[in-house]
Amino acid sequence: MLITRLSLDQRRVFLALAYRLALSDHWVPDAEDKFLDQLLFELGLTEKVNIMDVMGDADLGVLDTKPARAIVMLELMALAYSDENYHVNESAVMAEIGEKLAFTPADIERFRSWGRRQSGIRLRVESLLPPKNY
Amino acid sequence: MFLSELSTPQKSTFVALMTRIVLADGKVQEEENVLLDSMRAEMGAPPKAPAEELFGRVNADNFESDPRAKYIALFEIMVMSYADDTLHKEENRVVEEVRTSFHIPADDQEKLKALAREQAEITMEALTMAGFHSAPESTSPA
Repeated sequence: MLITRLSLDQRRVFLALAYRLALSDHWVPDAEDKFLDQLLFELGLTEKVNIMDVMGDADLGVLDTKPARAIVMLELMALAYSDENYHVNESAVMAEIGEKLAFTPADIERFRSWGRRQSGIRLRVESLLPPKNY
Repeated sequence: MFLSELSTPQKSTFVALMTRIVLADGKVQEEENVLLDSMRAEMGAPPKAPAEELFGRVNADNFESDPRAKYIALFEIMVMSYADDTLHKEENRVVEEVRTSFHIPADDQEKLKALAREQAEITMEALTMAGFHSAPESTSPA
């Protein structure tokens, strides 16, 4: 939704974090996979993700503004909830990223709540849409 | 939310409809601009809107035999129309024109409209959390 507000370097870091989050529960369901595809499309990145960044070395310092840090948290929460299941490992990853980005637990909870509600709306809209290839 | 599913001709028509909504009440609100950027990004460099579609009838031809795309376009247009928290009379007129051109039942539109309002609200909430947008002020319908 807001990831195009990120700079190129910030997008690269965001993507690495998105993969880290998606892989944290050792399972990427279809809904999460589709959400990742949509993120890639919106980010406009064609390069491969740096595996070291995914594993934990991403330079979070490039997220040098509060809006950029908040966008990353919001979009990651939307990704985490895209499969309707906020896995305990995803929660741990989000807590770690949130802390590194200087957000309080209360801030992280607000982001989580937003991601859950955003996912709920998406699912309810989907339920009203005619199926693909109708 | 679902705009990447539209075909290129459908995106072109959607951009025209989006433009009509944004201009419907005679002024472009900050929220609408942010949402416009977001929707354009979701479509991935969408084509320009054909000039004749900015002012003429709704081009439903690009959506023939694709009911899902019709519903997606109507929903996203309603999200845009609620960007400033109020569905203005002129915006509603455009929305209604789209609905009838796409032959979408009024009942379905009402359900989508409620969700469009929620989506617009949660989008603005995200903008506020990210510091792009101040808390909403109450506005009066035209």
